[in-house]
Amino acid sequence: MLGYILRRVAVGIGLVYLVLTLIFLALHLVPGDPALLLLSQGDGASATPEAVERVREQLGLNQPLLVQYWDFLSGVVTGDLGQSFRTSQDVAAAIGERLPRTLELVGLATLIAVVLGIPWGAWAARRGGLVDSTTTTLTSIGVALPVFVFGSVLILFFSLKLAWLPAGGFASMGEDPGRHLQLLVLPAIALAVGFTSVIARMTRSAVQEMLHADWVRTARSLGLSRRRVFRRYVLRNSLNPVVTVIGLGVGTLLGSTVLVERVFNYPGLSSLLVDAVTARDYPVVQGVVITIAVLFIAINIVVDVIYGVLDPRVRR
Amino acid sequence: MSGSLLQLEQVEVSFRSGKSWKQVTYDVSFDIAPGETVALVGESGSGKSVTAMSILDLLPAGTRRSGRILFAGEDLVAADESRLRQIRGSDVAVIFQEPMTALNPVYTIGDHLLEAIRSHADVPKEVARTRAVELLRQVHMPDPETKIDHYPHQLSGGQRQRAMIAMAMSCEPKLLIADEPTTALDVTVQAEILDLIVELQRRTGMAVLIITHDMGVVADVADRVVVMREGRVVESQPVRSLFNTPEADYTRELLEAVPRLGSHADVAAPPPPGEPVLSLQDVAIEYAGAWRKAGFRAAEGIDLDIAPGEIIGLVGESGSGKSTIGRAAMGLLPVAAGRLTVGGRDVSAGGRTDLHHIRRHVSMVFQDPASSLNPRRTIGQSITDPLLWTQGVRSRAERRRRAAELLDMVRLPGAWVDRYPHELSGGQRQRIGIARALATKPALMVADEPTSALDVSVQASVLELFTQLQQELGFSSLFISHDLSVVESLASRVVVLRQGHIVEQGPTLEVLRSPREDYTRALIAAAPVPDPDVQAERRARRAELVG
Repeated sequence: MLGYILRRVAVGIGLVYLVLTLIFLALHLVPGDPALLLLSQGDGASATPEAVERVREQLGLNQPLLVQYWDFLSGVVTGDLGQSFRTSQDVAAAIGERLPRTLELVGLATLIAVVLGIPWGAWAARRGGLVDSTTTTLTSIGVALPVFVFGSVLILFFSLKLAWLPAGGFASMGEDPGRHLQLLVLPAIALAVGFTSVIARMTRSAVQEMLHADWVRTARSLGLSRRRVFRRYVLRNSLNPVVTVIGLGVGTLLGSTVLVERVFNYPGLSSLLVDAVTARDYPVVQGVVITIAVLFIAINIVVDVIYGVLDPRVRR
Repeated sequence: MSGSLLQLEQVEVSFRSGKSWKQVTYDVSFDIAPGETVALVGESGSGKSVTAMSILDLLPAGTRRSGRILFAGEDLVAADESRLRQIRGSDVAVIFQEPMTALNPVYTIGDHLLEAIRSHADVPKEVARTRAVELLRQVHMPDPETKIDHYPHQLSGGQRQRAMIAMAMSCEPKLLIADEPTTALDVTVQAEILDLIVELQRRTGMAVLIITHDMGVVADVADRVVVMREGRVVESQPVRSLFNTPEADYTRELLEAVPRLGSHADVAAPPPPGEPVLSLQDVAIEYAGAWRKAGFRAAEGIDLDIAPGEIIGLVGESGSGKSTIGRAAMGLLPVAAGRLTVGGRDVSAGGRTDLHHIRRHVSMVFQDPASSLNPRRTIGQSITDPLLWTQGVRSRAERRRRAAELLDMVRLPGAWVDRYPHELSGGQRQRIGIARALATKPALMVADEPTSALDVSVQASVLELFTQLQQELGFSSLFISHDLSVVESLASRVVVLRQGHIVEQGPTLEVLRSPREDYTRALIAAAPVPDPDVQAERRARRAELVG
């Protein structure tokens, strides 16, 4: 098992290296002068030579490619992701400020999705009939419903009509913990709807398949109670595909919370990314992309390890 | 009978299909005395498994039982779920056919045993574990202290079935229901498992209800036999009189269809010598390993020639490499070392033109006719696809004409070209498989266990067809089988394989009547013969040997 985990981590580190190289090359393999490219506004107006020179200086573009590559890699490893063009703020610091907020949001959404999705899917598969067909319909809607629509509906009801929760904004945990949590609830729910639906659907189909497994009959032949048979021989075996879906889902959420963040005016990592893209703030874009890529890979390692714990056949 | 342990009276089972009920068994009545072994036999669809599973209501949801099932005087049809639960695994235990899927892959053997032990006895874990090791020892599991922490996939098929039996024995049941317990196992392992069941039965005095399609197994272990067909009991007799004087016509046909080892005095004559159609010289075949890992050598040092018009039987247990050799002969696996010659041409390199050459001269019939035909293509299309691929016959009309011809050759109506595989029975589908293999007029046909998935009566007719076609068309064949009696009925030479090596090869009669190697002898001795007297004699001899 330990060897299995170490192998996964080694593969993960290799992947991170690959991603970093790709990101580095993305800027340098584009035809033309990257500095010019970064500065061009798309309106045909060319940047002043001084500005171009400044960008070159800032990005180290005037150095040989290998030196740039080495600087880039060592910078990333030591947490130095450069400075923002716009604000001159340290990119690592900006990400350090935004990342926990997004993680908090994604974490809460995932918790809601798992806690609701798995029992829901299992229930639907077990009961069948009306419960099952209703589940299929509702989860289809849940998957298809855009977060900005559902988020707006949430605001309309819970903030404007009922005034139970604030409509949006952010308060730091240190200053006002109560408000911080209140502000987290609606965006997390908006984010969790689609995710819950995906998990419920996956659980439903996995459980349906496992219900017919031979070992379920074996367990029944031992005289175990229905509940025990279901928990230990059906649900337990259904979790493998569900864990995969959860892992993929969390990874996807990390990079795609932007709509929710916009609707609820929540300053997270995705908004930072989108703002930076709009402003052509290259170092920030690069930093955020690296962060998300590393997190994605880390999540996948965790999923692989959980997979190994759940299924002994995978550990090799 | 008042002395019976289990008594079925007019038991009928129905499955729900949509809004209506579809009855699958009718008026099934028989009984089992304490300590007795009753075999429930029949072909697929006879309702034997359904009947056995209805005893403890282990049928899938949406099933209805009626009639009376009296166990020690108590009606199990009327019993509620909680009462059934008390009986399951304690008074009546069950073992299943496929020990791989019958055990939960995510739990260890010990987890399974503890579950079995603790489902009916409130004992602490440590005590249960000691008992579990003891049970594993009783079923002769090698190294039980280690094996208890192994997962099902880490054990061999025989060991898995031993673990399953250990679970069943955990509460010392009065009745053991064994649903095809040895069907998925090799013959030598089958013999060991049957011995184990008989031994446990002698020691504990439990009754056994064994469900099987194998008349050899019936003759080996049963006291009494209940024959079922299409959901009804056809006849029920003590084992000797059933084999000697079967009452029902169906039983007689069933017994006649069983191939018997040693019953073929006139084995096919060896064909006139000629240049071999297929020749393997010191061939080794490997399955590629994962990245930077060594491959798995599935066969090594294989020397084998097949003359024109000759049928060679390739026999061995699972993992012996017999299918591997068949696939290599078809060009489906690369040759790692040695020389493979097809129709006089060296195709060991396995290049594009080599493969094309192979496919023009060699064809293949697969084991499972259900999964080896594309369900979305008509049988006419499936049969003539090889013509399109290897001979470039583009004209649809021409292919249709050939399809009808081929169907005619395998004794199916030519008008069936537009039917789909699901409209056919298993035996008919295998005829389609043979027709497809005949399409290119091959010099050699590789038949990989072509009748293993079929019922005996169907097997008999497919084998007859195969022999007739071979005589008419004169193709050679590499006939792969685990069943020695099938091979005896059609091959002129036999090659015995074990763990990727040839143990022995020679004319069929020589090898099967007077084998030179111990392994071949063991293989022949393990194959159950459908004759209770012979089996009783063998069992006595084996018991003597053990001491």
